[in-house]
Parts: sequence; structure tokens; C-alpha cells
Amino acid sequence: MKRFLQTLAVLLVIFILLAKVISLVDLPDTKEKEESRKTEYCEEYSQADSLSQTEVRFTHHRSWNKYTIDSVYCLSYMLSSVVAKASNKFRNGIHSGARTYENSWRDVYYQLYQFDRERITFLQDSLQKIAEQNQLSRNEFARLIVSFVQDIPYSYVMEGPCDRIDQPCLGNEKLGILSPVEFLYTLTGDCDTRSVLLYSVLKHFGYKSLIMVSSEYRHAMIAIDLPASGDHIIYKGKKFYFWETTNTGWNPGMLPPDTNNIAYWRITLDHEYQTVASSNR
Amino acid sequence: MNIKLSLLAIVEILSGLSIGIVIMIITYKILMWIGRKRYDIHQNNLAYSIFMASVLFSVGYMVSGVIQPLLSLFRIMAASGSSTIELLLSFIGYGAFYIASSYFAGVVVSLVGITIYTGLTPIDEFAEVKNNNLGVALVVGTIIIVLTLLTRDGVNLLMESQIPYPIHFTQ
Repeated sequence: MKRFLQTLAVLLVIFILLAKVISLVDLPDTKEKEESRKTEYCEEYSQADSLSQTEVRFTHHRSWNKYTIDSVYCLSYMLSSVVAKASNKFRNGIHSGARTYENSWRDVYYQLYQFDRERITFLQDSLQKIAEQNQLSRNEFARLIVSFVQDIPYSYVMEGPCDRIDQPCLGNEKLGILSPVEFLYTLTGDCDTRSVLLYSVLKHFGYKSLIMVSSEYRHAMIAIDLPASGDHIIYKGKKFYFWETTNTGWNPGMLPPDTNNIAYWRITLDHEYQTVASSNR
Repeated sequence: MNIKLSLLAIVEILSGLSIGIVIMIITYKILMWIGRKRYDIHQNNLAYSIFMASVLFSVGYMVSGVIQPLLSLFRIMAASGSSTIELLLSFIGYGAFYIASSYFAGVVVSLVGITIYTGLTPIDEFAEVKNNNLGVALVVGTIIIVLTLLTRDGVNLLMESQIPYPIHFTQ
């Protein structure tokens, strides 16, 4: 009995050490932790300025939690209604000739990415500046990018009229998705809207990411090739970890329990995908 | 070398080892005690060893499913901004609760499955195992393993439903 208790005590010590190591693994580096103690807050609000009778400019001031909750990242950007309308017009003209579920969404996502990728450089520049100021590692930079999107409150985007009342809802939108520019302009986005924006930004910074969709779960999220553990798929010999984007607090490798059957998830768009037309440019 | 990834790998290996050792020791001791006290089984009973091996596999396999959700829980809590002491106490508390729950589920699945199976067949399986009937022990062991394979996902989902994951939204 004594030996048994001794063994249990040793295992308890191991467990405590493991717990400590886990907290070290996921927290930022010491330098950043020390900086984050200098608590900073910035106000979060949006401001609309009328530039002309037909043009409105939105300025969005965003703030979202760093990995430790006692400090925040701050970012502001301006977007004109003219840019948003152009993106909206493009989205309304998208047609997909693909027959399968994944392929038709791949066409849509890729066209949205192609059209908007040069129009969201302001966001990429701002995020890069924050990363440089905070001396973030590659892993931490990916977290910064994804947490920026996770922090934007979720809204349903429906192809038909809205039939959901638990969250804000935007109805009668073609394809039931908004383009990256529209998302940043309205701060209204559902799962695939978020995934396309993240795919665009992550791809710009050289991350290998995928857009995953599930018709069974009626859901979309990204998967990324980062050092992590947990739920993943293996694609071209690399592990891509699922990353939920519809709310804060989700880490790479954590699939929500009600959507955790990996067999129901399919790769829609990968980081290497390019159409014949785009590859000839 | 990626230090954080290496640490994460070491955490997974050590947590798997420590949890595995604890549950194997406990299960082995309990089975030996039951065999001795209730069925008067001592040494050289190969049938009972086969039965024990299947129960050990069954419980181990059931508990193995809880390690990843547990690591996810720890990662969520590590980001919550609690003090180190609070974190450690929560880790130990939650860890013990989830491991004990899945362990209990593994034992219950084995016991309930075998009890029902024994009730439905004309022979007394436990008496046959006691008499060192290898054929019956193999069948009983297989039943325990199959029942574990069939119920493990459900038990894991039950465990995961207790983990305070953030809310997420689907269409």
C-alpha cells in the first residue's frame, strides 16, 4: 500500500510539472509577457464619414485580446463604400460551373480571394506592423491574424431570408457569403466569409492554409500547417490543424465536439491552388 | 529545433505514460482482488489472464480518448489569465475528474456488457473462466473489446461535452 501511495505521489508531481509545461507552451514568450503587463486598452468603435453623396467611408477601430487577457492589440482601418460596392458587384456576378459541393465552393472562394487580395493590403500592413512592434514569432503572428478575425462578432449570412434569431443575420446575400472586403467593411461575417479572409491574409504571409468545408455540419473553417497538436488532417505529407474562426478562444487543433468527425470535413481550397487563368498572369 | 513543439510532444508522451501507468496499476489490482476474493482464482489461470488482458486493454483504450480533450482544456485554461496556483489546482481537479470519469465508463461498459451477455447465454461464463476454459475466456475478452470499440466515441463525446469549450457558430 505504501509503495502504491508513493507511486501515486510521484505521478502527481509529474502531472503538476506537465501542467506547468503546458501553460508555458501556449503562453507567449517571456519578453512579450513582460510587455503585456503594461496594460493598454483602446476603444473599439466604428465611425462613418460621408465623403460625397454616393460615398461613405467607414473607420473601424478594433481591439482584441492578446493571448493573455490583461492586454490588447489595437488596429484601425478605413474602407470606402465604393470599394465595398465594387466587391459586392463582383460577388453578385460569380458563377460556379462545378458540380460537386467542394468544387463549387472552391470556385467561389478562389474568385473572392483573387478579386479582393490587392484590396486588403491595408489590413495585412497593419497586422505586420503589430507583429513587428511585438516581435512576434511566426506562430504568434498566425495567432494574431486569426484572433483578429475571431474577435469580430459572428453574424449569419444567408442566401435567402433570415430564419435565425440567436445571432445577427444578414439575409438575401448571393451565395450566402460576403467577400473579404465586404466583411471588413460591414464587420458582418459567417464561417466561410471569415475563412476566405483568413485564407487571403495567411496566404499573403506565406502560411500554408486550407479552407475546410463540411456539408454535414454546414460549417467552414481553416486548417493550417503550424506546429501544434490535436485535430488535424494530413495533406501532401503535412499536418494541417483545424482552426475554428467563429469565436475567440479557439486554438489550432481544437475541433468543436459537435463537429469533430474528420471524415465529414473536406478540403475546398488549398494554398497552392491556382486556376489556369491566374497562373498565366 | 522548435522548442514549443518539442515541449508539447514531451507533454503528450509523459501525460500518456503517467495516466496509463496509474490506470493499469489500479485496474490490475482491482481485477486481482476480485479474482481472489470472489472467484477464488489464484495463480496459473490462463483464462482469467486473458479476461484481465482484455479488460486492461478496454479501460486503457477508453481512457486514451480523453488525453487530447484534456490537453485542449489545459490550453484553454492556460489562456484564461488565472494565477499559476489556480491553474495548477484546476489542472489537477479537471484532469482527475475526466480521467476518473472515462475510467469509470470503461469499467462499467465491460461489466454491463459481460453481465448482459452472460444472462443471455445458457452457460456461466465466469464459472468457465474460473475453470480455466480458454475458449470462453477468448470469447468474453473479445466481447469486452468490441463493446469498448463501439462505445468509446460516445463516451469521449460525453467527456468532451463537459469541457468548457468556447461557443462556436454554424449555419
